[in-house]
Amino acid sequence: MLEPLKIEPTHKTPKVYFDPANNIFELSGRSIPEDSVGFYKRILDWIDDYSAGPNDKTDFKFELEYFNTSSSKNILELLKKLEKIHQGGKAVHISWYYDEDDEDMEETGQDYKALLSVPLELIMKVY
Amino acid sequence: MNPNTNETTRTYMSGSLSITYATYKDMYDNNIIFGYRGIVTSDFVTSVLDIMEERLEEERQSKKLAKKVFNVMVESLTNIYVDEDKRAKDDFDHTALLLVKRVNDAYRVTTGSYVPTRDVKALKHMLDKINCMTHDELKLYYQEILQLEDATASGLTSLAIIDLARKSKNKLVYNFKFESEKITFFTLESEISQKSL
Amino acid sequence: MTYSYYKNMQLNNIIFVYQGEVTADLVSSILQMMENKLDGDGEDKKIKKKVFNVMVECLQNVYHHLDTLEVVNPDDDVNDRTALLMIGKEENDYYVITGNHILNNRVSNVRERLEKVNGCNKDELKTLYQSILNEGSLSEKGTAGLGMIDIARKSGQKLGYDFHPVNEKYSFFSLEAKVSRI
Repeated sequence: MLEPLKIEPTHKTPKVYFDPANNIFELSGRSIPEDSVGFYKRILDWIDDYSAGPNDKTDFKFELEYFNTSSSKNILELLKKLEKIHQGGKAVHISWYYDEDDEDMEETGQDYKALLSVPLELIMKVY
Repeated sequence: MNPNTNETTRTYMSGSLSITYATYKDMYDNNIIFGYRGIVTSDFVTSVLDIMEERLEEERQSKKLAKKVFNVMVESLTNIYVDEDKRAKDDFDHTALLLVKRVNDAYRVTTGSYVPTRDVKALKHMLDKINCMTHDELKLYYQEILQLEDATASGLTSLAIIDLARKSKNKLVYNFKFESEKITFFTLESEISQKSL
Repeated sequence: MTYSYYKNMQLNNIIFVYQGEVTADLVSSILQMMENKLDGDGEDKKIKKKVFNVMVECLQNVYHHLDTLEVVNPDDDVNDRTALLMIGKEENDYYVITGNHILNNRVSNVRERLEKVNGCNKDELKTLYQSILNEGSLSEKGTAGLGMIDIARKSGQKLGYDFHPVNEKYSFFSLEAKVSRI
């Protein structure tokens, strides 16, 4: 089985926790990295490796506070890879969390949902 | 102790000390919270966002409005942010301006930066196009650009500008000040008000 | 007009200017931001540290003043809880300017203290600092006096200042500390 990918969050980059054995896939926090492409390459490469032998079901969670434009492109790339896994017959379910006060994050989730065929559920966090 | 201390002291003043009160009054009267002139790095971005977060909390703004202002700032800063490689490579003046104003319960975020004069026409065209779009049209336009394989700076700039219009739900106010054949100073202002919610 | 603001900042070599209330968190955010800026500009390590230390002292000083303000009758024209912070980079120096309202009846006292500080050399400043410390006076006035000495010591240059009359009750007090780049 593929080694988990764990990246600690910083004030500019998100927490990454991909643990196939426990079906935990989480991307959370903020994403305004200095080098967006470089940061996400690591994640995208890992997903490529995962695609070679994915779980029968993958539950992916996005819980982002905010992210900049270059991150949004990389996140789309990530989602496209997840879509491919789903289209390959191994179910993928994406949970897109947003703050009840963050209409923008909700809309972004809707954007991605509109562009992809992988199941994406929008979940509002209420306080 | 020098009997003429007062005189001597004043000679140590920079030009700015003499305009301090005028600057204060001007900013206070024009509701300008802060201004920054310099190169925008990604570390700077996080600090500015922290400053704004503080300020919004102090002003007891609703969480919804605060989030909006925040999100608009992230996008605004994207327009004037230049990554390290680019900064090192070209001889372009990347000094940018960031002004944040509060007018009643609305916030105005203005960015200013130099753009190549030859890019002005296309930029103006895009801004006018965006200002004519409805919220739904902006949504579709954003999705369209997002999907393009184009990962160039101009592609990202377009995306950031569309996002600004979309999030603020107000017309983007812009201005181009021609300086030379090479560079033009481009200012862009977004307003976050109750209308944005 | 934004362009004129930009040009004005450029003319006066202003990097950063802030107007408003000053909280502890705000101070640390501003310091963080300036630290990043200094790093990004590739400034000499020693100078960076010096500028940073002067900024810390100046910001703490104005924060402290605003924080310990006695409740006064609200004045319609003046918001005495707001301050101005201005940081600039000139050819030979960095400058840090703080501005805030003070009661007119305190102006001569503050001016006196500033003149005293400016009249001291390095050793005299040290002595002055220690004597105020030893007095054991932890009153707002006592510690404010220390703040100025701290700024003067860290900057290594005379402090610049200005008292601008505003109305019957208030003046606007600006304090400038410079740090040499050479």
